[in-house]
Amino acid sequence: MKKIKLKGLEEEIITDTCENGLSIYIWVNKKVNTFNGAYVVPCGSETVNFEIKKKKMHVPFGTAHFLEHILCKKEDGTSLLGDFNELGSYSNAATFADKTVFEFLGSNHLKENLELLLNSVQEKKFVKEHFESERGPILEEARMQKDNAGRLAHYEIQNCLFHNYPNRIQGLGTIKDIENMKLEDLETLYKSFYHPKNCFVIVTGNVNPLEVITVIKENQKKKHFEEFVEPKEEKYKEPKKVVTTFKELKANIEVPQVYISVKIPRKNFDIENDMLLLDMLNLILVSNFGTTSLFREKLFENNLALTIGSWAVQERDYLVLQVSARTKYPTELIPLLKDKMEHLELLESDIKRKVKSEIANLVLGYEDPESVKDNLAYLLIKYGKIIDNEKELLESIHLKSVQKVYEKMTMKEMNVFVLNPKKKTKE
Amino acid sequence: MKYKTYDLNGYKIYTIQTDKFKNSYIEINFRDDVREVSTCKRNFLSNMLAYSSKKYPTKREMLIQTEELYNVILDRNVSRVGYNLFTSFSLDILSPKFIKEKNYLENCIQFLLEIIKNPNIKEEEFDELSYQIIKERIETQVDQYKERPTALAMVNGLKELFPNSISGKRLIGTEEEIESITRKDLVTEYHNMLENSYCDILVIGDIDMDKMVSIFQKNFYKPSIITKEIPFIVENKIEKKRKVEKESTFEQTQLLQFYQLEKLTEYEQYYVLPIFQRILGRAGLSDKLSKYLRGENSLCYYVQCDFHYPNTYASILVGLSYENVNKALKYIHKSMKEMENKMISEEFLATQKEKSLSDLKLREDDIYGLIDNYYFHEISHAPLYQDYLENIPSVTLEDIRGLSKKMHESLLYILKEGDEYEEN
Repeated sequence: MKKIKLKGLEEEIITDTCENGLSIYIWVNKKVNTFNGAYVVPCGSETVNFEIKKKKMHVPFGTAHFLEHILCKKEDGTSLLGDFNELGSYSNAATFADKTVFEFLGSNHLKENLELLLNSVQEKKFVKEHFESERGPILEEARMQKDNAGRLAHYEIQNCLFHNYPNRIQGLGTIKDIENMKLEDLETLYKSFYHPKNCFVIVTGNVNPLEVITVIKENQKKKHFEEFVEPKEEKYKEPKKVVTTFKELKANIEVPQVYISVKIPRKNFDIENDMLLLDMLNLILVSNFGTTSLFREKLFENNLALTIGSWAVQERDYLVLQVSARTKYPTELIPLLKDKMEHLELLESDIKRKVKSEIANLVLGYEDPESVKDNLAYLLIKYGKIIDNEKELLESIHLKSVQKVYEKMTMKEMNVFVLNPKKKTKE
Repeated sequence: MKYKTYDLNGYKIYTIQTDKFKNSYIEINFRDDVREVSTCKRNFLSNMLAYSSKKYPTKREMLIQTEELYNVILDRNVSRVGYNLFTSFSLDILSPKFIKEKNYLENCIQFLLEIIKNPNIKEEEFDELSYQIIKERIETQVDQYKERPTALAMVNGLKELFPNSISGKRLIGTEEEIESITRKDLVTEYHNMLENSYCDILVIGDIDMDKMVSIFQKNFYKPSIITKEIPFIVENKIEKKRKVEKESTFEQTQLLQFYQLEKLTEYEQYYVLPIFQRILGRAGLSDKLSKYLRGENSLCYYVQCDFHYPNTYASILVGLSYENVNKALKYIHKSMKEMENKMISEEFLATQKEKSLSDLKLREDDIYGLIDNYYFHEISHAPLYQDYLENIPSVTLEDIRGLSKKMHESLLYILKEGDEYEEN
């Protein structure tokens, strides 16, 4: 058992590893009544092409999500959620781009909750009949998502920016993918990625760490697993250029939405630390487009925008900077947003204030078991470890360091995406 | 946790002192009888007050101050429970113990009070620029619900079911109502709110409450004392069963089945109803609706079951293919019939009661839920969490049957999927 002190936050993460390689991470908060447990698998909706012992493997888009649904079914075909319910707990599962998470939230029967979680994910027997019966709800889920304009915009923009990355396809796959999915696809993914050596358990909240570790280790000792096949995700070659610089679509929305996205190679930047780089990029965007920016205020005053949002994310070897707005006047707003993206400003007072805000958010973040669990899962999947100096990283940001990042921000590869209202809703 | 209410004549301060959380929460609430207030004006006004003030004449300046106060979150809201209309202004702050600045708590309270006490009014009119921005924003929000099929079905279904009741009305108002509101009207509404509303302040966190109260006493004075009773339940007439079907351009059909509720006893309202809801549609895919609609017949991904007792109705919302509507209705009726005929095992009832008690512990971890529970206990005699712990275990299958007999099938609202179907 090891303790990772989170510098400047007066918090610690307890960690241990089972004999079979399953890692355990625990954060304790004795002031709350509840606990949260999660089994995290580094396999998500983008896990479609991989290699096992030099053999290329492929599963259709939507496989990880279908598998998540099937793992939530018991041997008799009923939902596993009912078993957690009997323990007085909530349970859920979710498939993200890079991970699948199975979790419970409860206040009693910690041991039983943990065992149920581990056994349900690790001891799966696939039944053809259950697989077929789940196709209907998944198809309805996919149709529901097609009615979500935000999601539609997200995936369309990925298609405008990237030629080869798997982030271009909806996490659930297309309707055709779901209709043609085979049980063998699910089994392939399960056998390749769900080995304990590849996964980790996070437990947060009002728990005794020793009890957690003992329950998990005892449970794992009783199980036998095949040898871990060590799957390697395919490395995608992605051209620097965006696919298209402009795209327009219609959706069920009332007011047009505008998105300006910029694609920048990660290697443009000297900073090695991905988290610090993202912090700084987000800070630059929020200073220019955020709630306290003069530019944003002028757009609101002139009725050119109703809302504005901005963020920076990393997609494999690229960084994406994005600004979005709801506006009645997309034609007038687009050149202003593009121009602003190309002429970003940096003010020391803004930087200082934003850093202060981010530190406050970080301190407050270590309170609720669910958000701590989410943050730990994010760090472990994204960076492969717990970052113990997040506060120090934020404190290290100052005008000069931000300026250095700013100098490397090339805005050449830009896409403009506009979502227009389909037609007025009939009443 | 220490609960205490301070009565300061014109207003009351409801407090919970606890070191459980890293943040603290302060809310100023104005409470009115919705039948005497234009909800549209009130919503407009609350937006105006939270947008700018004399000291912070633009939203930007106001937000810079929130960042200076270590990223406090300023929020406003207009909501309704029964005939009670709540206009609230709140501040989420870091617990003062984390901040070295001596007057941090006082500065936060002063900031919240600035919004209430010093609106951006010149010559009996609100500031023109703020007014235009807010008006445009609210007018856009009016139609935003149409972007989501679930919201569109719910809003239009409620309008159909309750055409003449506050239960069917949206607080935001209509585009015409918003258009007709002037800057002068908003000033009148502002004075109306300050003079004729109940004023309640809610504070929770690791705060020296006596010190906090003295800051309010020094800085906030409300002359009038309000004593009128405002009902917490809207008793709507029970309507006949009928079906309304509308077209849409969405991919998925929304089936919305309403039930209307007779008057319940307090025991039924607070203790039986939550258990009934779980068994029918809130037990993580093992409830009746999920079992029949999703588990056994693969008709849908979600089925949402909600009870709105303050408006005396319940709703079941399902997203599905239009061709499956009749099948889904058959299983909804089957589920309801089973509730009435006590076709529920004692074990399942016991599980749902235990789950309900476990949920209470979860709610005790929520700073906003805790203070709300205390506040509603004080103003409407709703049970405290402790009362739930004592009474939920005694709910029986006979209680469940009794409640189902007080539910009456009402409007069936179908929002039909569009004909276009294409893969993006």
